[in-house]
Order: sequence, then structure tokens, then C-alpha cells
Amino acid sequence: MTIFEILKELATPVSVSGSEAAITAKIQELCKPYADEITKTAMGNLIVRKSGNGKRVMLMAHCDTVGFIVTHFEECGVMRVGVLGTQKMWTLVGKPIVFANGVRGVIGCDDGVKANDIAVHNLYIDIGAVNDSEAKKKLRRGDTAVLAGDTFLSDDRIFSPVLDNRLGCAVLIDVLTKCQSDNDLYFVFSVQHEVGVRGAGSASYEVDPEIGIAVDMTDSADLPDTVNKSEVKLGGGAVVRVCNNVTISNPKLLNFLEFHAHDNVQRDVRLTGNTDLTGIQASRGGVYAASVGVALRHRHSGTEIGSVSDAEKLSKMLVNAVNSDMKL
Amino acid sequence: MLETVKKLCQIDGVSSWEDDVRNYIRSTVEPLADELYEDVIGNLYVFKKGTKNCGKTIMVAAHMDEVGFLISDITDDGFLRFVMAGGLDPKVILACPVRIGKNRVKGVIGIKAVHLTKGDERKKLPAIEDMYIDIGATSREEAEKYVTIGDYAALDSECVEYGDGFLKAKALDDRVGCALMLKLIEEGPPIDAWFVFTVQEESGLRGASVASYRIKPDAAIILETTTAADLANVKGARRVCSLGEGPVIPIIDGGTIYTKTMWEQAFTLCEEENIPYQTKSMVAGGTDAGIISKNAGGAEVMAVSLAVRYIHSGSSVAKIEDMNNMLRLVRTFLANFS
Repeated sequence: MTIFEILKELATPVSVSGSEAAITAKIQELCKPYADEITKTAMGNLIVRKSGNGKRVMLMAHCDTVGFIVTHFEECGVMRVGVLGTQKMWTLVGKPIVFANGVRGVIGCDDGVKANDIAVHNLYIDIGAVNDSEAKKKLRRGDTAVLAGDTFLSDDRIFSPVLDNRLGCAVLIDVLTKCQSDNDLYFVFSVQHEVGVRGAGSASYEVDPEIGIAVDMTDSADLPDTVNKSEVKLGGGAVVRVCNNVTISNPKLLNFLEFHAHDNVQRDVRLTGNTDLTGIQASRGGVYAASVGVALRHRHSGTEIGSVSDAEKLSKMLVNAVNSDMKL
Repeated sequence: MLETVKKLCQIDGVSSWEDDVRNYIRSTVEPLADELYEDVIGNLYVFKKGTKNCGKTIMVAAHMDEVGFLISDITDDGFLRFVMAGGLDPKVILACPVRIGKNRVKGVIGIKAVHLTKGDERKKLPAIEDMYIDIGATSREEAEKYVTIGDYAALDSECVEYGDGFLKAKALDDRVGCALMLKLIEEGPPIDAWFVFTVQEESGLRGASVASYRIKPDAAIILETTTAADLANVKGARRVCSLGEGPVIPIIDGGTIYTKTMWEQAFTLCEEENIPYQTKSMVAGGTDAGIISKNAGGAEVMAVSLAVRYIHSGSSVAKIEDMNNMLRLVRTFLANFS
């Protein structure tokens, strides 16, 4: 399967933070032919092991996406929600959504609230019901939804609502199928990243790796008037993330990975963003850890744009790295 | 159990100064515990065998600390400056009586009198930095006879039953959880479980962080209280939960996405056994589950909370029948959990 084909498979399940069972089931299905051992932790983190005698190396990609959770039914038939993950509230108004059970709807906002003032309690999901009994025939409190959209290719560019981080997961699966490594490899699909990197730490604790690499999406900085300046561009190749506002990647490991790309690599130096590295690096007695990824445009918007060639280059970098003796 | 709740509320245990609460609890459970110990940070652990073992390591938790204050400075004219231990809305503590330290030195929280404030100042929200505690001293030397910098101050409030089965007290959060755990230990739990009385929840889930690391539970049930805004001018989802509608089983709050299989099972049990229950209609608040769910290798978590109005104030209010239903629910849930 190509990376896009893997991504297309991974784009179907609706799995937001806290409800990852559907996506981990799909990932397990795709990984099974290549794995020696597959386990799931108490929180739902999926650990896919490809055994070896060498170094204990973990690649991690979070499998949850941003989304919404129903918290309350209004008498008029709309539902109040919790927003899972970081969103600018005003950008959500009018966007189509789809629930895990297939029900479709749109995000609305209380009348008369100015864009800048919109808070989560002003938003609601409308499935077209005219009273709460009608809505309750199809949905319950706790049901989850994502921004709806197609996943398709336009030359090198992938359009999809869930590139963050199903594309990261696709890269991990690609590496699993292609690598020929003597190392003891752990491909970890972590949970609850979008609500504050909640799964990465316990997954890292369970695996107890020597080396940990977090694979996640970053924002390209190539659109007009980008506030957080960076050299990172869509289509510019794999990205190594030097730092963000919470963590600093281990420079030795970063240089090692960069070398193994055998290609140009983009360096992301920014004081924003949060990756699974936060949970990995300080786990137990500490881990040699770094964060890598590819650039996306319009992340979390419902229509994200990524690059197939960027993802392929990232995969190649990781395959070359894990195939080596990983001596830093 | 109501008497235990009232007794516990009357003990002062401001976050990081839980000694008196822990000592009372310890003296009550020590003869009943199969295993008991305290850790270095002050958590109290009680292992109690149940009617059976459910096959998993179970942790039931409630925190012993309450929100309060710590004395940070004494002014020349005998007033005390203070900081918060845990989160309180500055508006709700003005003119409140407090009691300081083991000797319960009486004081009142004050601020510049309203007739001395000018137009704009009256519109501003008061800040802790502008407040002081008045213990009736007229000089620093006099004040120092009664209090020391670093002393804790608790809200001074009596337990009062009123209205149609309502209880007003300070520290319902989380003495109710503690009282419930004491009851479960006394009557013998349905399954083997660790009952952990944690410290410093209000100042950042700190006790639970240590406790979850020591116990490494497979599943944890957190017994807590949660904010109810079922008041005159609050509508719909923003009420979060309501008094009299039973224990609250949250699906999600500000710090945790609760384990679906657990809350679904709890909902089903409540329906089967006719126990009223509710969930939170807004993402708000947090519990020790926030750290227990993700610490070490992670755990499945569920919270069962009492709806409390004016939580984190000297006059928090709950419905007594909700406490009883909370106990029924937890008992039933443990009996059916595996």
C-alpha cells in the first residue's frame, strides 16, 4: 500500500480524543501481518512490537483527532458540546460535522454573539431535530463527532479533515512495513493527545524505550502574514522539530535523524505547539527523545492540506534510522 | 454517614495541612484495615478485603484537603496578608470569618470599606492582594503572639441543615468523599480495594500523583464533589448539574475523559436499580482522575461526585439525599465491577 492508500484507510474511523477504539482496531488490522506482538494499555494506547535484539526504540504517533462531544440536549433539538482539542471558536460556526454513528449535522452559534466573543458554550450541533426527544432517538450524551470532509489527492497534495495525525500514523505503518531492523521496535499509537498529551506518558512508561521519536504534524509557515515565523513549507520535505513551547528535542538524536534522511530536511524552531515528546522525554528516568513530522496547512480546520512526498521522505528518514544500529 | 460528613467538615485541613483530618480518619479505620500506611507526602492508604476479588487492582480515592489560605505576612498595624491554598473566587471570601492554625484563632477577611472606594474602583473585581485578615490585633507584636507566617487559615463555618433536606458547610469538597469511603470500609466493601485518602488535590492533584504511582491501579473510582449552578439566572447546559438529581457521573471534565465502559456500566446500573443519576452538562472542573488516569502505565477511571452549590466557599450546599444515593451507586458499582 502507498502512504496515501494507508491514510485513506485510516481516515474513515471517527475517533476523537477519548474514543480511540475504532481507529486502533483499524491500525491493528493493518499492522498485524508485520508485527510480532500487539498490546493495548489501560488508556487505550496501541503498542505494535517488531522484536529485535538491538536497541529498544519507540516511534509514537497519536491516533486521536480533534472533535466534539455531546454534553447536553436543548429543548429545541440542538446539542451543546465540549470541544476536544485546540480550536478557534469562530472558525467552527457553519462547519459540517459527522458523528461516529454516521449522523450528520452542522455547528451553529447562539444568535447575536460577536465573532471574537464566541465561547464553547455559545456553540451547538444541529442535526435538524426540532425537539430533544427527536435528537435523542439518534444520539446520546457522550457521543462524539468530527469536522466532516472528503479525503482526496490532488497531484502531490492530500486534502483531508484528519491529516493531524492520521498521516503521522500512516507514516508509522509505512515504516513498519518497509524497515529491516535488528532493533527492538515499538510502534505506538497514542491516545488523548489533542486534549493535552494525556496518553503519551503512560505509553512511554509501558514501553520503557532507550530512544523515543514522536511523529506529529506541524504548521507550515508559508501562508500570507504567518505570525509564528519559521522556514517550514508545505512540500519542503521532512521536518525535524528543534523545539516548541514545551520541549526541546535531544540535539544528538535530531542530528542523527537528519543525517539519515539523506535529503534536505526542514528545521522547525518555534515557541508554539505541543507534541507527544512532552510525555516521552521525562518518562521514568528520562529518554533520548526527539520530535519529527511534516508540515500541514489549515490544521484542525476540517480541510487540512499535506504533501505525499513530504510523508514519503519522513518515512524514508525513519526507515534509514531504525535500520541502523542507532548508536547516537 | 451524615454525622461523619459533619464531623469531617468541622476539622480543618487546608491543602498541605491535612494532619488533623488524616489523624481522625486513621484512628477510625486502623482497627478495620487489612493493611494501612501513610506515605511521605501524607496520603493515607487502607487496603480492605471485600466479599470477593474482582481480578483487578482497584483504587477508590477521595481527597482530605480543603481550599483555604496561608498567612504570608503581618503588617505593622497587626493585619494579616494571605495567599490562597487551592482556588477560590476572591469575591466569595470578602467579610468571611476564618479560623487560623491549630488554636483556631478567629479572624475576618476584610477589604477597604465601600464608602472609601471611588467610582471606577467599585467596578473592579477585588484582588487577594487588596485583602487582609483582621484578628483584632492593633500591632504586629500583638498579632505575632497569636499567629505565625505560614499558618493556615480555614473558612470558619458551621454545618447547618436547612430547607428541604439541604446541608450547608465548608469543605463538603471533599469530606463527603472521605465520609463515603469510611462507610464503605466500615460496612466491608463488595470487592478487595485500596482506599486512598489523598492530600493536596486542591493545589494540583499532587497527592494522587504519588498515590497512583505507588498503587498502580488497573481501575480507579474517584469520590468527589462538583460544581452545581442550578440557580435562578442560569439556564440549560451552564447549570452543569443540579441538587436533588442524584450523584453525578461525569463523561468528561476539564482534566479527564472518563473511561466509557465504566460510566456506561454505571448509567445502566442506576437505571436497573432505580438510583437517580446525572452527568455534567458542560466541560468544567477536575478531579484526582486527571492524574490517576495517565500516571505510570495509566488506568481506567470513573468519578462519582456530589452536586454542590457555591463549592469552594464557606457556605457550600448539597442535598442530603444525593449523598445517600451516591453511596448506593458506589456500592452497587463495586459489587458489579470486573
